[in-house]
Amino acid sequence: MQGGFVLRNMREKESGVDVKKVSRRNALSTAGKVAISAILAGVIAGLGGYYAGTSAAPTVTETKTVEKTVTKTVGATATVKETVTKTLTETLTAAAAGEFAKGLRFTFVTHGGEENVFWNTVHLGMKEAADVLGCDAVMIRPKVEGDLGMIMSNFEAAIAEKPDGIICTVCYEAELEMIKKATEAGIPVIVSNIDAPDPEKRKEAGGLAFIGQNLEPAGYFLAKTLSKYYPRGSHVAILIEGPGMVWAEQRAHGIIRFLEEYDCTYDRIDVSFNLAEVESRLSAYLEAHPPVEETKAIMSVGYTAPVAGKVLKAMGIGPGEVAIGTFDIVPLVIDGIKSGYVQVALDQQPYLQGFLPIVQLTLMKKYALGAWDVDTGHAVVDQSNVDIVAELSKKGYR
Amino acid sequence: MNFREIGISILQKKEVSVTLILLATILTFYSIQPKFLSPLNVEVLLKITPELGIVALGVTMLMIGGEFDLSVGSVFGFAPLVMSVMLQGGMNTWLAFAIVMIICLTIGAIQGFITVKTGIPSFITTLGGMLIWRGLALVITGGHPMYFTPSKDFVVILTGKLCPFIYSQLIIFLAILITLQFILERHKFGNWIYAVGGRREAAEAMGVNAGMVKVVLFMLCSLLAGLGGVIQSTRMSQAMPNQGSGLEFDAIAAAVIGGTSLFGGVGTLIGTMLGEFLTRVIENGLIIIRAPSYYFRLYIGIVIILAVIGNLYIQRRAVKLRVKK
Amino acid sequence: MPAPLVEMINIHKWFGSIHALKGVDFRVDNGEIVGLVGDNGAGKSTLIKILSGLYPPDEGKILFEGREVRFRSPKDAIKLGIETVHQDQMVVPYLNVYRNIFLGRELEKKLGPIKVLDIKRMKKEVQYLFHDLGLEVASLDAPVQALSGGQRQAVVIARAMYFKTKLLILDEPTNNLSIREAKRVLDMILALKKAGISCIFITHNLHHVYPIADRIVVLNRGVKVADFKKGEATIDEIERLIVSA
Repeated sequence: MQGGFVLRNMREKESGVDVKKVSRRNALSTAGKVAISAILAGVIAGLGGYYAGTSAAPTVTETKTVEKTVTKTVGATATVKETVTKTLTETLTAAAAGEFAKGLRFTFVTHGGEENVFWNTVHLGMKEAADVLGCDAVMIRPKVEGDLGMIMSNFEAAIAEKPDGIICTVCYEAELEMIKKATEAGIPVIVSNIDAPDPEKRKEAGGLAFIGQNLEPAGYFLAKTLSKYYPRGSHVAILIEGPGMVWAEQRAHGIIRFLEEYDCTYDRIDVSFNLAEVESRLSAYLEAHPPVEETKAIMSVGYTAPVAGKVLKAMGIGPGEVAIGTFDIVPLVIDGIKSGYVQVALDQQPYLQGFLPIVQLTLMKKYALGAWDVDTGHAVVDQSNVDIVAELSKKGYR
Repeated sequence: MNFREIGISILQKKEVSVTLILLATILTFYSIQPKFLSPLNVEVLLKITPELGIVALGVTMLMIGGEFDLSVGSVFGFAPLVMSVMLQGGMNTWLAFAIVMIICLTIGAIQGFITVKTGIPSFITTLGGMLIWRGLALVITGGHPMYFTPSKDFVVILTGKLCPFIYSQLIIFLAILITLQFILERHKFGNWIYAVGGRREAAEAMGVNAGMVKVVLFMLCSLLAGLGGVIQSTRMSQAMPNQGSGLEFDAIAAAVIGGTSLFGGVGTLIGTMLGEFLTRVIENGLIIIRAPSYYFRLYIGIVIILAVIGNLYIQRRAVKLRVKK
Repeated sequence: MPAPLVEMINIHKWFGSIHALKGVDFRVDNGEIVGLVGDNGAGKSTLIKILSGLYPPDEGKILFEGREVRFRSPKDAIKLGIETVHQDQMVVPYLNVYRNIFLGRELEKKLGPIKVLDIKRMKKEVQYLFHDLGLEVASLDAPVQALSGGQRQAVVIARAMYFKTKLLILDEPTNNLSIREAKRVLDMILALKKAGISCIFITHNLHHVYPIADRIVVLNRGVKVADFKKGEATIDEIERLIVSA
């Protein structure tokens, strides 16, 4: 490669490149402008977050004792609704602020994503407990539901903040390590909503109690409660919305345990929460195992059993002829009960899963009391109370 | 060098904006809640940032070269899953790791070839990749998390704690950062990367094989994505099918905040490191000051816009400034 | 008679359904300055892009120093000693002057077992080059987009000058330049000819190329319509050929 070319006869001094003289003022003003906007950004971020956090400060209102009367007449549903709504609004505004747990701070680390509506109810329970008791409680939800990496970093930050107590779900066994770390740092931990597959391991790691639905007994309880509506020795279909997942398998196990005691035969139908899929699979199944003659009951470990109502209706079968039982309260379930197709729904009471841990942690901190396990999973919703529950569900309490 | 010249040369750095915002954010969080800079918390930040930072470095290199990879999140989840299957089959940890890294390189090569040969925008090819590798992960696992149990020495080498504050993954991250930075600034391949990303036809007119450069960058990107995923799974002892969901946007955001251009030809690895760190700082800081986690997205969005505006503003001024000889 | 430096024979090129070059023969001898002229769309840029290796011809062949060659990429042309200054300045705007000049042919030095960029030497070479060409750029580290259009053009020409060995192709080199700068480019080309380097000079501006060209080739809508030796035609006559229908 040849080097530079000597072209001496052409050397004319170019006027050169324009040089913009940099004045000290210019450079400083640029740096200043950026620095100021950067600091503004940081300050806005910080202050906004701070005020958002402290806006959870309890407001002082009067305590009112309110009686709730519910008339159980099935026929007079109109009047029942009226009374219920009136007394409900009074109850809701009476969430008083207290001083009982003043100064205490609790953090709830959950796996539930920010769009997961179920967790809004848990959050509400937590918030109202905090308001009533006068402490500060915050719930940290991962951006992506169930992302272990995010959950773990949230957990680490929560521990570093050294709250007075931590509530968490054990969605993955890896979280037991975090519970251990929190306990070793002197922070009491209560597990809510999902327990470790082996409760002994959870206790070893330092999880003092479990507040939530005991899945297997819940399955048993559902099948048993529903058994008023189907005879011994029946054939039963069980919808499994999450085959292989712990929560689904445990509930199914409970259901099956009862069915075997009740001399029933059963089939598992693996589905998902995709309602269209449930509908098509169930239809196909019922073609092969005709309802009433053969299939006398349908249950689901999730909340999709009410879809059976739609399928049965299309087959010309009326409500009540086949027993349907399900878990969890969603609008689908409420409609199912109201229409008469669904007899029993078992609510795991997410509100309690947020409310009770705060109460327990407060008592632990104030009076050195111990924590205790709570099975929140035995609330039956049926024709008798569906209207109240429907109203509360709309407001996010059930 | 007098102050003016030092000032100008600093302003000309692309990382000025993110550095200032990072410092401002750290100071603000600290002033509200000193626990933010407690040794425990600082250690947490240094522990969790590297595995995501490694992915962001790969994405940055590719962005400098003028392309995008939206599949990094899926590869982040896919790689440890494949390794988990091999481990459960009894394979030696290091062999499984080597095979998985080769698989990642292959994924990158495939995505690169398709992009280069067909001229389909990398945005689209890697969008397809994102769905395919995530789909494969779900098919393999049926949606369940899998145990991830490498040998003890693997765990220690990849994620062991060397001394207070310093975890192994941090060293790995820094080593990768230094190597890539060296290639970018001091090696001719780095010059080609800048050229191909800055103006492909000019590079090709000068005889640079743009296609080859891009394929190599795709391979690097997927490799680092897989490595990041394996590191996270080693820390968690678990490989999950939805691991790394949304990571691609995190990585691109970190790069953009740090001063890398979406249009190619301009970028900074140090900026990406700072941008990624800033993301984690905000996430962590909001928890420390007990703000509802809903605010995270809002702040990151504001920070991205501020950082980019800051960068543009500084760059425009800096380009006009010249030091008189 | 020695073989011409470059001989392009019966070159055809289609872009979709547009027949851009219709059987063009084009020849450059050693130490010759050839002016390639024609109106917009005549095919001048296309012809030299084929010669610089950016496109393959659809038909026809190219002989370089008597041997047939096929360029798979610009690299092949560059290897043979063909340097091109393109009409759309082929510089990377964000890279600085020396990184652009040495792009693809970076100067390296050994650092232990690996080869790294020899930035010091590249800067020095560029400084010598600019010095000899009478160019002055205040900062070699500034990205080229910070330079004015004329300075960028000068950098591009300087690049070609640095590396050229046999043939220099200039596509509208005087377009963005001031009169003084343009004159200097023409002087540089003459000096190159004296050193035995051939040049193909494409331009709109007949007045620039006419005085220095040994031959002038006229293209009109993809067809070669004239090939004049110096003095065989006047500027007016050539102009008439350019615009004739």
